[in-house]
Amino acid sequence: MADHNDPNAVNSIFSDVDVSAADLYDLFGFPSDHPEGGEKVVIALTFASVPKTGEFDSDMLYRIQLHAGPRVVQPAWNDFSLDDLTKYFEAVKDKYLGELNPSEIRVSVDQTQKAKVEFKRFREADFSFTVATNEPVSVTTSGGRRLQVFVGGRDDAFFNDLPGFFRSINYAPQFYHVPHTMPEVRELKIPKTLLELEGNDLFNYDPKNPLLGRGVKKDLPSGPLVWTGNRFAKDADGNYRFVYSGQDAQAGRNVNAVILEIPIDLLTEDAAGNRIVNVWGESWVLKAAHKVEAIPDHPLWTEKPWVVPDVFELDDELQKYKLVDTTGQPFADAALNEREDSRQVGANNFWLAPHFVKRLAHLGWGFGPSITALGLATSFDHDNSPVSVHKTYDSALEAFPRVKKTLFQQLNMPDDTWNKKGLDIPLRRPFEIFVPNVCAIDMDTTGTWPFGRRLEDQVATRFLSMFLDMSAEFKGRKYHVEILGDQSLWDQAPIVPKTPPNPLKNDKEFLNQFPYLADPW
Amino acid sequence: MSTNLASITPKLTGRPATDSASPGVNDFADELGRIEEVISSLEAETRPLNIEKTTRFLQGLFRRASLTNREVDFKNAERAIESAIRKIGPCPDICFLKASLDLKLHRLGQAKAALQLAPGLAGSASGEVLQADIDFQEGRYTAARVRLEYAVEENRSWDSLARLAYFHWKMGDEALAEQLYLESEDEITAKEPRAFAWVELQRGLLDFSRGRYQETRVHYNRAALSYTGYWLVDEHVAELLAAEGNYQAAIVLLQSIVDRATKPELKQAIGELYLLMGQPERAEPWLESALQDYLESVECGDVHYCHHLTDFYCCVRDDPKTGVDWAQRDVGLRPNFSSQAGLAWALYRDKRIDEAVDLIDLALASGMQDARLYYQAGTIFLAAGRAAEGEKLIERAAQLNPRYEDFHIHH
Repeated sequence: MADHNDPNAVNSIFSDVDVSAADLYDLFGFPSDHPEGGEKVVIALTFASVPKTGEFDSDMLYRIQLHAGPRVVQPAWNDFSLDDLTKYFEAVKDKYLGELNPSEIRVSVDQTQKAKVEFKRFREADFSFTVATNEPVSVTTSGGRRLQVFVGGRDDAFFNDLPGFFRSINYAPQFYHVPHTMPEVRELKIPKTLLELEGNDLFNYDPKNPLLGRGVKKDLPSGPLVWTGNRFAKDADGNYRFVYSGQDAQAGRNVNAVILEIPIDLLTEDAAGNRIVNVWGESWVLKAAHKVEAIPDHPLWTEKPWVVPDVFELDDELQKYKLVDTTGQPFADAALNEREDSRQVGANNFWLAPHFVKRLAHLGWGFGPSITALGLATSFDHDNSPVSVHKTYDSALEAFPRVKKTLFQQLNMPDDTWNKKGLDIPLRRPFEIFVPNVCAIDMDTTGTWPFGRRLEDQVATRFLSMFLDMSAEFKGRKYHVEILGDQSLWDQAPIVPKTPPNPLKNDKEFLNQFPYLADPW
Repeated sequence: MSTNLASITPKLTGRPATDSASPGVNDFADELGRIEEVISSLEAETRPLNIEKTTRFLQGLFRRASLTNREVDFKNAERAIESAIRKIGPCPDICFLKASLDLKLHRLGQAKAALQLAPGLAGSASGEVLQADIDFQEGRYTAARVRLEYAVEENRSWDSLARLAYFHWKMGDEALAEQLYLESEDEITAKEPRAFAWVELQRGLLDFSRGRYQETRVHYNRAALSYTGYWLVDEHVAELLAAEGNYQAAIVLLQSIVDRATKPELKQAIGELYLLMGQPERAEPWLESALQDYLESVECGDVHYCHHLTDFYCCVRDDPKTGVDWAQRDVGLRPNFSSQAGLAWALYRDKRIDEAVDLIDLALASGMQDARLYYQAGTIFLAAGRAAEGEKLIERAAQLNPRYEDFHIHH
């Protein structure tokens, strides 16, 4: 057949190109619990175990960036306005894109499965070393500092009812075979909700097909993929049905991981002042032009350097790779960026700030009425809507009043154990947490979310707590980020199943010593 | 007519790319093996396939056909796709596959119909890109450009960028085309070596169309190194060798491809090379075999060789009347600059000069900057007694490609 400029013949939208080794799962970061040898920070970047657990794809480069700075003084705003928020994001942006010159760790694994680990822009001259995979390794730097590194397979430390989350946002690919040619039919235009909607046959639990969305998929029905009801579903006993099951969909699953324990004074000269360690992770895949060594330098910058000006912001090594995925905050991508590839921008997600406001309002119209129906107080202003609503916004200005409280309320912690030194540390607020998309570890805390992210944190449930009104009380105590994990709350709620949305602990015990994540299955 | 074999890259000495620089590695065979595995495993399923698996199966068949270029693989893919649509209805992905296949086989009407089969498909991002290809094939160049620019704006995927690059190459904006090809390559990861090789081939072809053989060689070499064992690379290398006058090496390489892929046009090329070497007795079996393949394809209802038949009857058999017939059929199917120029040339060879002028005018009006088009136009104008215009057109052909008279394969 003639080859009339036909890229489809080479690689169509149905390409089975496997870049899932680039699929980042989670970034954990917290102060080490082991004081010996000085203060240390633990960082774990987890990703798909492809080609298999403990075996790495040699075309990948994993990058962890870190920056230590002082705890941010919260803005002294009398009232919170969109203008204030925009200025705040601008200021943070200037910092991240301007003065910041973060330290960096790069990890790549060669075909013999030896991992090359490079430390750049730390307090010592750049250094690198090679380690065996799947073994914890201690390394002493030329400056006498001891750090620990593990590059290998582990149990997935994420414990979560992911199908429940996808049911809550009516994410069709979890339940149906969605055609490649119809990307718009992924998150269907049905209200987000925590409670099943009456007549939402596309996503409501079907006792005849209990595994739908949990490994089982159906063909996408023809006809309008919408919901036309006007109330939450109730059973004969008057109970709502929870879209979550509390089951751990990640049980028995493995990940590949890069785990590090690093002395804080390797990162910053002023370890006493720079108490916040900001961390974010990236996955990069080698570009085809650099796959074959015999191919001359990539023509893009040797022949036509004006094509991509940004290319010169990358060093020689990174120019050979393409950024695929980023991670900082849990749910920042899945819940707020709608999992769009073009929004995989990592820490540099400032341009998404207006989108963040609009998206939060969209989610609020779904989750807010669900929370109210359960007799709980919500931070989202939904005009007392009796049922979840599918509403999108073109303007952040219009959305802002709805989400103002959700964005700016302090997220209460269940007790004071997070503040291990009893310091005057303000509680965090959602607008600080998600932009920029970094894991901001407060070294004076335990590092539990949102002051970092510990392995045992149930972050999916804590994410939902943003939509609760933190000034309200349950059993005489202020709402807090763990309240939706409190079984007694569900016991008294008109809902089945009576369970917290997500499992309370991991399927395997974490380790007390490095590398902390449990051994793989 | 000799080329110093030692002076050219070892990869490009006429050995098939299967004897690659990396012994034991054959990316083509590996990829084909993976596709065959997918097809076999899905064929072996005893339960009826759901839509997702059906799509994966059909996609496997389509990808296999695209990879091997074997007629039988295309037929299998076509039958399976049509059967699936009959059984499960117009699923958008399957209709998209059908449209892609129809487009590849020059059945533009059917491709358009397939895009309309599934609601929403024609207006989807992937449908728009395919529609742009159809627009180009049907001579709606502005519409094609607009669609491609939109596609690139929405998603700077390597294939959309490569499509737009091709458009600008053909329209004469080489710098922009090259820039877009570079951007396209920058989007391709190490997981897509065939895509990279393909874009390198396009860049090589661009240089080849301008007579820059050294630069062509560099691109073909990159293509061969990045994806080993690919007959398409060999085909272009063979053409380069032949253009440089290294006919024997080109023939050896072309013969190795004919053994691997259904390519009657390469049989024709071998025959033409033997003719150039003054060996008509060796040429004839190849030419006859090419003709039989073309005609057999047409008898089966296929139309994608109409253009080749035009060329064959005009340039090989000196039977321009038959050439005109095939050319008219081709223009009816794809009224673009290429088919119009083909018909104009056939008419010229049949001494129907006035009609030839009308047709070549149409082709020139497309704005395509193609040396062969200008050469044919110039020749026709000279025959029409419009010497000044004719000479100017031939001069333009030489400007575009000083080596426009060298051997080329009718791809």
